[in-house]
Amino acid sequence: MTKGLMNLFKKDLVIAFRNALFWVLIVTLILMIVTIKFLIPDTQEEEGYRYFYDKSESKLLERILVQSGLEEKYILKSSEEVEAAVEDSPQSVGIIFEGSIEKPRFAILHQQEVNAYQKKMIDVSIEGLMASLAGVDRSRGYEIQYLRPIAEPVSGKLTAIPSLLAFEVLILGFMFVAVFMFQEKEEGSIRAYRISPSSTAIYILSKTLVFVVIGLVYGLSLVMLTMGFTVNYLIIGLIIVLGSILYSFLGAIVAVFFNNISEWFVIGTGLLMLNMSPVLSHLYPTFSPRIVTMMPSYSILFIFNETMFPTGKSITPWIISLSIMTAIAYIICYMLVDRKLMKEGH
Amino acid sequence: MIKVQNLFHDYSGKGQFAVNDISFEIKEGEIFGFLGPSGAGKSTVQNIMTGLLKLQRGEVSYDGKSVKDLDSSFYNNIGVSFEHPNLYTKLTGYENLKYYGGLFNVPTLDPMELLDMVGLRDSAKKKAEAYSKGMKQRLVFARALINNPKILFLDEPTSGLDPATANKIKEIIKQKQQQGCTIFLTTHNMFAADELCNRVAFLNDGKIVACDSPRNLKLQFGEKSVKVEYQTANEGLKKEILFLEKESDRTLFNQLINTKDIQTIHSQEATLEQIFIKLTGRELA
Repeated sequence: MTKGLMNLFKKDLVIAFRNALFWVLIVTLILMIVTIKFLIPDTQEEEGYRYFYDKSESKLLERILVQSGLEEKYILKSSEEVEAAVEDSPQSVGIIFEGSIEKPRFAILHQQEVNAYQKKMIDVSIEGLMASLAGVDRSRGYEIQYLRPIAEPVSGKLTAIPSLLAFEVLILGFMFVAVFMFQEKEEGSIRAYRISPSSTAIYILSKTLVFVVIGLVYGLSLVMLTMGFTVNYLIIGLIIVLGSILYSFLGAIVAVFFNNISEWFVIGTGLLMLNMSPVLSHLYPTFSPRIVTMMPSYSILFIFNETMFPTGKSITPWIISLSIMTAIAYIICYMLVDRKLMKEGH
Repeated sequence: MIKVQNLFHDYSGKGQFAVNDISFEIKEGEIFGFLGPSGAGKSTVQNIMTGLLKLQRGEVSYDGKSVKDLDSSFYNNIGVSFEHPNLYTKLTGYENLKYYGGLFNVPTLDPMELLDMVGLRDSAKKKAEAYSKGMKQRLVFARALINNPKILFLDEPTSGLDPATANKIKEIIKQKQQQGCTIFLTTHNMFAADELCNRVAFLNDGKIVACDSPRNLKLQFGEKSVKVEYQTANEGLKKEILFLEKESDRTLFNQLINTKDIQTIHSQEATLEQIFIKLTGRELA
């Protein structure tokens, strides 16, 4: 079986390399890496930009800011400097203080419209500054206890990587297995396979193996070139393998019902879009209806997320559920491929 | 021995049989021709015999073992050449044979030798999608031989080939028979069938209408006459049609042979196509 599997795997790999879609994929990977690395601004850092100018005669605010440890580059010497700094950094806020402790006046400079969240943040900042000016102790009257260790702050641009892995890398198998099957149906080579001693299992597994290898190279390159060596590659690799296998099986389950990519397109892309709905849960954790959490992409996305940006949650239950889903998908995939693809007259 | 007994097949499930009560046997080492026009049911029978189509009714057995009970190792012993070339178009001719050969659990032939045999050595590194129809046909034929099969199913193996290449393929088929291979040849080319087959079956509307050796069919259904053309001194070229079953014609035939300047002698037996038309009222093509 191993010899037959390896032979067919090599054949499918050669065909994959000669498929134009494969090269589109490589270009997409390069674009994604360049975008994450150089084009997406690191919002985590930018959110902290606040430029101050103390226009008062006493310069009390300036002294308080220096005492509180604020870097001097954020304390400017004129209104013009504040304007120029805000102009350069669209996310930043300029705060100009004038007047006295008794009659303080603050001017806020911001490039864009201030949303409700930003307004609250500015309010809190001003209140904090006024309290500092008045010498009021604003230490909290409450204590926060965390259930798990506090997670490291995550760079905004890197938060996209789990989603890219789950919705770009793993669905390769889903789409490519369909492309392969339609090509074999169109050229008739599937008929030649049917009258060979090779089995349905080898047919499915050889294709799956191709997408596992491509998924691993693609996924690991993406993580390595954007995140470096700060993540657990064993878990990342395991989930890429498991996810690629599962999505290849799911892709085959759907593809056997169609004869070409045109017939497949509406249903196939519809399913892929549905599969992307867990990204909403990723962005807004309160959005987690049962139908979304049951999707394999939900588990995969959260395992990737937890592995890359640990919060102390256990990923074992997710891995177990993913393994069960993969086993069930294989059984269904085998039955359908054997019945609808390996026999004629259906 | 291959035995097909009372075979039926109904694609629609409504009692419209594409194959209707077909029975025949093929002896080991025999070339058995299956002749009929398009839609007669030839490919359906072949597909049932190779296990591609599920056996609905009747029986197909190989050395007494039903096709229903055959496992995947059965395919190690057969080779199938399809009428419509079905190749991995993104692979080269050589790769098509190499990877296909890798699916078998028996020793396989050298792909390059096979390509050489069918005249494709120079195109070995060319992708199959760039092959002409005839080249694809030859590659499919070569692929059918890769596992050195004991039984060959050939569906129109000379279709679309020029006469010289068709002759080359026919020679290979004969060589395979000499090596002990049993061959099931599906065709509507009566000349190829006549030349190659030990026995042929005429298939029409899903039924076998005649089954025998080409010679016996000709003898049974053809006009048993001989046309003799000979040169005379006064009247130039003359011809006589003689029915050799008659005593008088036999005597005249002997006289002509012994006394005249014979130019041509043609037996007047019917071609397989003429016999097919006589039996079914329709043409093979």
